[in-house]
Amino acid sequence: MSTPIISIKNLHAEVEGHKILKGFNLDIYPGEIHAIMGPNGTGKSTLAAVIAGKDEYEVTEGEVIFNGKNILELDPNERAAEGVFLAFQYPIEIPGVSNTNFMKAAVNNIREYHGKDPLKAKDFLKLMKEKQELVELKGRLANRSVNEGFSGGEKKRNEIFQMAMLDPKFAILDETDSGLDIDALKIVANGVNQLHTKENSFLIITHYQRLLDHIIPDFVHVMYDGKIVKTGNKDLALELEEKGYDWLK
Amino acid sequence: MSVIAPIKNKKFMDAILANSEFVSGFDQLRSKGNKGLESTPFPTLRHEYWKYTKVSGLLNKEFTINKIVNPVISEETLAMMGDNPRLIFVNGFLNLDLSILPTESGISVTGLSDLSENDLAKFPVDWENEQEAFTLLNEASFTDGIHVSVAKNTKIEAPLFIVHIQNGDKTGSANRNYFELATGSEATFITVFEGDQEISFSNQFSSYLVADNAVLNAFDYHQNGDLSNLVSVAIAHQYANSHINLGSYIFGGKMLRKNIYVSVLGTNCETTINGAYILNDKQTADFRVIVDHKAAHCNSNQTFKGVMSDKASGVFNGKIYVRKDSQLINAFQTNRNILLSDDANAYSRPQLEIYADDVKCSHGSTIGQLDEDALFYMMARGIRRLEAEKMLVSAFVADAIANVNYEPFQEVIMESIASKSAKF
Repeated sequence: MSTPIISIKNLHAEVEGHKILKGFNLDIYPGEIHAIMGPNGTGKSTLAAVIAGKDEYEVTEGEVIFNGKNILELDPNERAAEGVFLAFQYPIEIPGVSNTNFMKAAVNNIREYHGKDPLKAKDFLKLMKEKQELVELKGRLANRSVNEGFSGGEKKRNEIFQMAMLDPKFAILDETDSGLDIDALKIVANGVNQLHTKENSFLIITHYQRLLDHIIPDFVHVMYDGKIVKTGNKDLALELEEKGYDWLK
Repeated sequence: MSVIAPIKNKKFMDAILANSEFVSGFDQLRSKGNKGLESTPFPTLRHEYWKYTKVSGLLNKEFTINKIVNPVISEETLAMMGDNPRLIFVNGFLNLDLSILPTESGISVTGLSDLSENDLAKFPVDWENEQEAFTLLNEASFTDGIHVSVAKNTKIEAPLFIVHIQNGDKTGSANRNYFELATGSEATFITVFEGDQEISFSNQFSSYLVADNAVLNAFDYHQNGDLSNLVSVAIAHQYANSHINLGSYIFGGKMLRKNIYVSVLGTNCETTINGAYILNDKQTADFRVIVDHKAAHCNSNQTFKGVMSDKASGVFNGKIYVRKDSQLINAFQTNRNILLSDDANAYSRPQLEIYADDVKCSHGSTIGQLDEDALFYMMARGIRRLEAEKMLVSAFVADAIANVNYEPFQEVIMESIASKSAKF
């Protein structure tokens, strides 16, 4: 078997003295889709933020090896450049920064990290157009400020669009399905499925089984009190939908 | 307020007044200035409108006004000006060899040496008799200046650049420039300040007379040297149906104090006064902005944005007056600031004084930091922190430069925002 794309070992993290992650372990291999489910407040979003590098979380123990590097030592932008992507649960509005300039900076900063020249304007716009079609946002967002005035669904589709633009090796979708109607959910799921290859992997954080009808996970984990307490296949999600989480606590 | 005998700053004044190359023929103005200085002390922190900017260090120095040869205009300014007409002042002396006079018909430029005091009598020189010591010193010591007049119903297409270059250690300069826009005319003036890295002091006065239906666009771009000091007064009178569109953009200079007074004297006027100051190190930019609505049915808008890092200070002291019979006024005033370090300061005093009852006025100010959530979001997409900060600063300042109507100049400002942000 190949080496994991990401290997999270005994991860402990806290925020303002509150211990949230308490020995989280997970290996994800290339091409795999993992789902994490679990009740509110068990540390799912903290896990996502710690991997992406949000600095208000303090890692007290453990490591996250990505591509052979302990990415906990890297800045968030370096993690992104290495190929980690976080689709935010609550995408941030950035008034005055257009989506085009935002993505141009992102794409070219990542290229620079890898010692590549910036993308030519023509090639960049072609890429934008192509990836926007994937999430059915064609031309609607280019000149608008990032996420400003977007509906909940548009914001989530914009996250998937950004993911498509950056083509990460590993993406975390943090409750991307919450607040989506069924049509938007299908668009998002379709985007993920089209981007999924044998080389890249996904970690899907969700409360609901319905997203997993559209994106079929290889593994479903239940997270409780800062660590994984049960792992199964996609049928586990159905079981959770039926029984809730109490039987696992 | 304690009164400090003006004798205290005698050396400062004497050094500036020692220059013998004054433009002649303005005896009344000079004696008014000199006389005023006898009873008007230079400001201290106890002065109501100088609470946040200390000038004692400046007043302890002796600056001399003298001509220099072979000044250098920056590549950036040359590129921005293109083929447009320009008036180049070097240490306060108009240099005709470097200047290119406008050729379009309808605009004329006259040096003050070819004018008399009577020719300028129609221009406003103060607002409500507010006379600060620096303004009086300007009257007493100005070496040179211009009178620009734009003919009736003429729109001047090319912007006229006015470039002030300040070079040499402990040098001073003082100018008075007069701009007259006749009925229905339109023109754009872009004033650029630049200079070397020596200690200097520039004292500027501009007066604008904007007749019925005229449109004035006047922007100041400050890339003054790191150790330069500047005080300036801009005063404007505008008449019915006219538009005044002002902008002040500060990147360089150690201490800059700008008093801007606009009296709206006719109905249906539009007044826009914007400013942006991107400061680091120990820079200070201090604005006193007055919009005085003396006529009904007018709109005015002020947008000032400050970004301060290190130990820099930004001051905005703005006041809108709406006089008793000036009904149906819409007047807005915003000052927003971002502080990028613990030692940076923003002082903001947006004020309204309203005597009419049927008006719509608002004012507001904010002082905050860059949005950490936005920075993290951008970094999570691979954008370097410095680049992300630069983008957020540019976005923050954008609406203060939206009124700039000459695109190459707007681009230069945007580039300056980016390059200044890179120094934070």
